[in-house]
Amino acid sequence: MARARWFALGCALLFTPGAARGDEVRCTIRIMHGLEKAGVIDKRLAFLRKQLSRPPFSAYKTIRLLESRDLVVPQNATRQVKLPTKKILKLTFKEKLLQRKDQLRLRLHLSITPPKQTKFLPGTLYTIADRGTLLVAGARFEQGTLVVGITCQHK
Amino acid sequence: MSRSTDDTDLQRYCDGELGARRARQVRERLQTDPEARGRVEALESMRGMLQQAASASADEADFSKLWGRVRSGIEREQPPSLSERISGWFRRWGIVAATATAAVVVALAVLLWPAGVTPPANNDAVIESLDVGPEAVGTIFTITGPKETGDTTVIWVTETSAEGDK
Repeated sequence: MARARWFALGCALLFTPGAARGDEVRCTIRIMHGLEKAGVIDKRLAFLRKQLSRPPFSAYKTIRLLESRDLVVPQNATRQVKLPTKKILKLTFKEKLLQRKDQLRLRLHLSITPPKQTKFLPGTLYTIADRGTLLVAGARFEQGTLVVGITCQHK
Repeated sequence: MSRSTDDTDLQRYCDGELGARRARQVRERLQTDPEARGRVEALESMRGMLQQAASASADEADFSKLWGRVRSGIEREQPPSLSERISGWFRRWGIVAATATAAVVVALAVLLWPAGVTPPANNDAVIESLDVGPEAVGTIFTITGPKETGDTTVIWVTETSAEGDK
């Protein structure tokens, strides 16, 4: 009888909804700087070259990778990165979603605001394919524009 | 005259190394001293045998083979050809060169490859909600991409305030 109760408890723990215990994503925050002056797209951004060559980025002939930061974000936890504009990027991993054919998607919450303020981008909730990149741009920075790429991968 | 000095004189006499006066003295002695005469005969006999043995060894020696060995040695001393030098270099330094090349390739890959998470197979983002702060305007762009990466979503936030960033 006691053995049956332990078995039931184990099953309950195993199949609890949202039983993503230990779930986390590994994210890379790429901080880029777009300039209209003649130049090239940083070689380390080769995988984004096509996107960065099209509107609304086509005006930028030079795109440099200023910094690349790796974060591990556990489920429902928030990690933050300070941007060169002094704004704070906060990223929260909400959950993982399974689509048809077992395609994995991630739901994340992102905010980019000055410290202790709600300006600029107080929050956006989005889903994206595993290892997909979301681009956030528009902040003026040193005669150019700051572009932030957020790429997350489920661990 | 001691025995050892005597023997030395007789030996030198046999070898023709004595001066004229000393040689004459030895000859005079040999006429009167049968023991000395016997030693000189023994020495000359031994000398004759040694000469015969040396001559026989010289006859048996194959000088054509000896010359062949000398010639092959000279040829070995010739400087190696370009291909021999290259192959020798690879034998000696091949592993080092291969290791160094591999290290350079890895270093370049690390430097040039985008850091962090592997480049996306598919971007395909869906914005569920977007909250933009005061004095800012948010626009969502979709960049149509190739099949591999799908469409890429861009959130463009334009600040309408004068302050901006730097």
